[in-house]
Amino acid sequence: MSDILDSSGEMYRFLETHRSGYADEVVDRLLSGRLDPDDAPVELRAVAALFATATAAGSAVEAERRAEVVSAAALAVRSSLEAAPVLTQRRHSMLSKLFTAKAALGATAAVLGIGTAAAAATGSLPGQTSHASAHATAGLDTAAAHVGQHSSDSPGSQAGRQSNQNTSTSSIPATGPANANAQFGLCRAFLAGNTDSSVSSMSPPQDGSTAFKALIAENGGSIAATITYCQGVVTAPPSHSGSGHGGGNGKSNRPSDAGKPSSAGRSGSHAKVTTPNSGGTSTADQASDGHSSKGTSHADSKSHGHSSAGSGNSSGHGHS
Amino acid sequence: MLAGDNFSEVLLAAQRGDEQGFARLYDEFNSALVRYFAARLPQEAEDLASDTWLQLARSLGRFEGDERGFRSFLFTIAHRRLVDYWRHQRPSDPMDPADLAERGERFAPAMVEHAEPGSLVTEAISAREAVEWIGSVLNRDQADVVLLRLLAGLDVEEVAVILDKRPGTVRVLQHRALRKLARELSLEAVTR
Repeated sequence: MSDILDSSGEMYRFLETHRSGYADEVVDRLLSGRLDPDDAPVELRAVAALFATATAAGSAVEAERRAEVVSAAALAVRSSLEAAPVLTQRRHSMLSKLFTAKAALGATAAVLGIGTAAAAATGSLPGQTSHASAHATAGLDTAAAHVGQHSSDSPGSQAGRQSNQNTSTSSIPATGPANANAQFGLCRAFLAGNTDSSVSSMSPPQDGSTAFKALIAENGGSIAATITYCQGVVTAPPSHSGSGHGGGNGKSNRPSDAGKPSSAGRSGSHAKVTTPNSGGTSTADQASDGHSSKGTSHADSKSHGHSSAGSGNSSGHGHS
Repeated sequence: MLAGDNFSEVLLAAQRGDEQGFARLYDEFNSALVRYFAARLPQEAEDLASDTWLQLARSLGRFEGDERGFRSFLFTIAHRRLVDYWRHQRPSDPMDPADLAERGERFAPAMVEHAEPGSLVTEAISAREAVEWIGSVLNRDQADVVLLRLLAGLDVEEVAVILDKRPGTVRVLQHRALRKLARELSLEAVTR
């Protein structure tokens, strides 16, 4: 309570002063030693006398202690005077080093920034060049994922967005030339599990995976027909897969990543596989026939994944 | 007290590390400094005062101001030294009731001998005993205000800065301190 009153300012001080009965002037004179006890209010005479005693001339100072303190203090003053230029010099040295380091950092940051901007402008950023190839490698199509983003996309932002999508997964109907790679890989995997036996003795694929089932179903439910189909696929792997984007976002004529099935079945099978990918995933838009708004690899559901991927993609920009 | 004109010369000499200059400052202010400490820590007063001088010497080169400013500078260091001492050591807290009772009893006989309150103090006790008695009667905040005003010669605003309090609070504290001192002295007179 008293603390609250203490902090309440002038009003409380006024009340306190009147309660004590001492005027500020008297108090100030008393505490500054300018109030003679005889002139003080009766109730304060003893206090005034006490204060007069407390401020009376000093007692004898121990000579030995005085000499020690004065000598040590004077030495400390001289030491601080001698140290001051050194400290100043050291401070200047530190400042110059700091500024040098800052300048170097600034220059480095500027070079990196300019380089990044230039790379983004020329489409040379890793995220940009790998946009198509990453999807193609993964056997994915990105058409629908970028619908609606295209108009605002810039090379730089695209790369950033791709990196943000790295952890996503999706169920992907297999379409497009990238899917040809998937078919190639799927068939190789399928055949690998059935190489040592004749067609007639073949049993269904070892793991009975959805991808294999879908593959078999697409070939009339016959394992033999599937093997025949796959042998055809494996002996004549797609040669145009992975080519790229409208808008010149890069072309890839690399062979597909055989042996890495990333989607099941042929285009239009709607087999779904959850596939980790390195460039972001999305769901292909069947309705668009794979015409990617981004111009990335598009699907041709009628080509069974053997289309010349990327051809005419530039005309697909913005189609949905 | 150093004359105003002299003070700047003395200060300049002390700031150059001249022993004579520093001795002048010491002679002028050490007595009040020791009393300031003696009111709280009678056994440590001289040592704390010496520490304060040495601490002041290390920063004296940066001081700019007149004699009044120097007083404030010196007692700011002293107050911080006292607070630091209490914070780290507290071997015998001056606010310890047992300690206060002992100190009160020590001065009580001197007061009993004198019927007239106005004369008992001046005749019976020394300056150091007077400040010790003040320190034993007042609480820490009240003693801070009274001793800094009385011994250092600082005004309310300067004391407020040192104690990190508002001037209004300092005024309230000094009113309470005076009331308490007056009451204690009158009680002593009545009991005699």
